[in-house]
Amino acid sequence: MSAGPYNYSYIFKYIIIGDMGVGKSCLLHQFTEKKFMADCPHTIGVEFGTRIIEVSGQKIKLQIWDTAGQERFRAVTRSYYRGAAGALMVYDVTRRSTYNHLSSWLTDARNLTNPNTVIFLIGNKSDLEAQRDVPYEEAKAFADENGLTFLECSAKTGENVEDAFLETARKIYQNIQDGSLDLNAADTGVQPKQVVRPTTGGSAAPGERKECNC
Amino acid sequence: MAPIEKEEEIHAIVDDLSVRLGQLGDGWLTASEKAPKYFEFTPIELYAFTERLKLAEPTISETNTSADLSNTVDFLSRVKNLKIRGSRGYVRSSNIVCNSLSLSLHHCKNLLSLWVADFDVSRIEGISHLRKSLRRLVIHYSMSRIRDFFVKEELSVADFEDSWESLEEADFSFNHLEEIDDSIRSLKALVRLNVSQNRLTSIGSTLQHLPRLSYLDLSKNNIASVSGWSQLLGQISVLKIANNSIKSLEGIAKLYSLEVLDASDNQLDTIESVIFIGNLPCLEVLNLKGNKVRKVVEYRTRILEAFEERAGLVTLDGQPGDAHEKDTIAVRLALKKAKEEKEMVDRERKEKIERSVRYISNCEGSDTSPYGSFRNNL
Repeated sequence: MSAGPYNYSYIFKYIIIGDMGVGKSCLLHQFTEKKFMADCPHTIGVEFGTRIIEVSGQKIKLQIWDTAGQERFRAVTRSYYRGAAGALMVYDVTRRSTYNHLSSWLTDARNLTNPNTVIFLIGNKSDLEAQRDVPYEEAKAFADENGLTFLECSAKTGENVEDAFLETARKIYQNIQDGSLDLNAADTGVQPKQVVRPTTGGSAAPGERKECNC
Repeated sequence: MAPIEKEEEIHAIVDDLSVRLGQLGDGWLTASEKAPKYFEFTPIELYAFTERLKLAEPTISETNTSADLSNTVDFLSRVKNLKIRGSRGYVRSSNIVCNSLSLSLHHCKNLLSLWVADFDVSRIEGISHLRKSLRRLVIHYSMSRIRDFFVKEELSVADFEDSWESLEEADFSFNHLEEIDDSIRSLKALVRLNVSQNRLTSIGSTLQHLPRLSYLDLSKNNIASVSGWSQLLGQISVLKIANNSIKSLEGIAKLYSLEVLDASDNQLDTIESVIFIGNLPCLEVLNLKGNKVRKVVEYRTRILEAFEERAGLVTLDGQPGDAHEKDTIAVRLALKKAKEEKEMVDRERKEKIERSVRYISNCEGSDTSPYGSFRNNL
C-alpha cells in the first residue's frame, strides 16, 4: 500500500514571502518543476506546490504555499504564516527596495509563526550580476544578525534553489531530532504521515464517496 | 441567486473535505495511478473551497488540527481525473441554487480529464490553468454555448488565442448547443469531437481550423444539409450524422479521408442522393439504415455498385456485399466497362477520321500525294 511516490514519513509546510516581483513563484516553479517560468503572472491570492525530498534517509513531503507579494493581498498572506515549519523570505538582489523591506517581512514572520519556524533568507536573481544593487556581504551580515540562514539563488538558472529548500528541511528535521520541535504541538507545520487505513481492493470504505467508477 | 452567506458553512464543508482527504487522499491517488478513475466533487464543495482560499484565515482549523486546508489543495493539485456533478434546483433543503455557485479550478494543475454534468459551465473559473495538461473534456447537460466554458472574463484576448495544447477529445453531447462557435478554434490538438444530442442546424465554419480533427459525431441534431462540408472539414475519417434530416450526401462527395460514415435515420430517399460518395477512396463502413432509400429496388447492389472495383471492401448497413451482390456488380461493371471501351474505340476512330480529313483539306494542292497517308491511317 505504501509504495510509489506517496511514501513519506513527514509533511513539512513552507511559505514563501517577500515583495512583489522578487521571483517567489518562479522559485517555487523551479523547485517543483525544475524549469524556469518566463512571463510569470502576478500571483492572485496564493499558489501551491509540493515535492518529495529526502533528508537523512527520510522521505519528506514539502507542501509549499507561495503567497502574493502585492500589498492588497497582505491580509490573506498573513493567514498562511501560522502552521508553517519553514519560511523562505525572498528579496531581489537587483532592487534595493525589496531588501529594505525585509525587516517588515521578518517582523511579520516572527510574530505570526511559532518559535521553531526556520526562516531562510534568499537573495534571488543572482544571475543578474551586472545589475546587482545589494552586495552579498551586506545581506549576509543582516542574516547573521537575525539568526537566519542565507543563500543567493537564481530561479532562472536554478543555482542554489534546490539547496535553499533542502537546507531549510534539514534544519527542521534537526529540530525534530533534537526534540526542540514538539511533534504533538499544533501549528508546528510538521505532520508525521497519517496512517492510511487499508482499503480492501477499492470497495466502499467510509468516506469513499469521492471515488467514482465511470 | 443565493450564495452561502455564512463563513461557518464554508468552513464546515472544507474542514470535512480536508479531514477526509488528509486521511485517504494519498491512498486514493496512489490507487488511481494503476487504475485511473474519476474523483467526484459537488459544485458546493468546490465553491466552498474557492471561497475558503479567499478568507484571511490560517490553513488549519482552530478546533480540529486534522482539518488542514493543505490536504484539499494538495489533493486537487495532484488529481488527474475530476468530475463535477451538480444538480438541478436547490441544494438539499436549503435555498441555495446549485448552478448559481461559482467555483475555480485554479489549483487543479495536473488534470488530464475533466467531466462536468448537470452544472452551468459559465460558473467555472480558473480554466486557463488546465490548458497545458488537459487531454479529455466531457460536458453533459451543462451548456448552451461552447464559449461559456472557454471564454472567461479572466482571460485576455491573448490568452484566448493560446491553444489547448493537449486537449484531444471533447465530448459535448447532451447539451443545448445551437452552434459550434468560434471559441473551439483554440482546441488545436483536438482529434475527437462529439456534439451529438444537441440542437445544431449546421457545423458552422470553424471546424476547418482544427487540423487534427478526425472523428466527428453530429448525431441527433437538426441538421438538414451537408452542403459544402468537404471544404469545412479537413482530415475526417469517422463522420456520424445519424438522426438528422439530411436529404443528400452531395456535400461530402469530396471528403476523401472518410472511412466510416453513419448517415442512418435521415431523409435520404433516392439512390441519386447517396451515390455521390462512391468516389470516396477510403470509405469502408457505410450505414444508411432508417432511410427511405432502402426501399428502392436493388438498393444494395446499386449503392455498392457506385464504389465500382472497391465495392467488395465496403460494408453497407452492417453487412459486406454477399456473393450474389458481388457477382451482379461484377457483371454490371464488366458490361459497363465493355460499353465504355466500345465507346472509347468508336470515339478514337471518329477523331482519327476527323484529323485525317483536316489533313487532306490542309494538303490540297501540295506536291505530295495525300491519298497514300490517308489509306495508311485507316
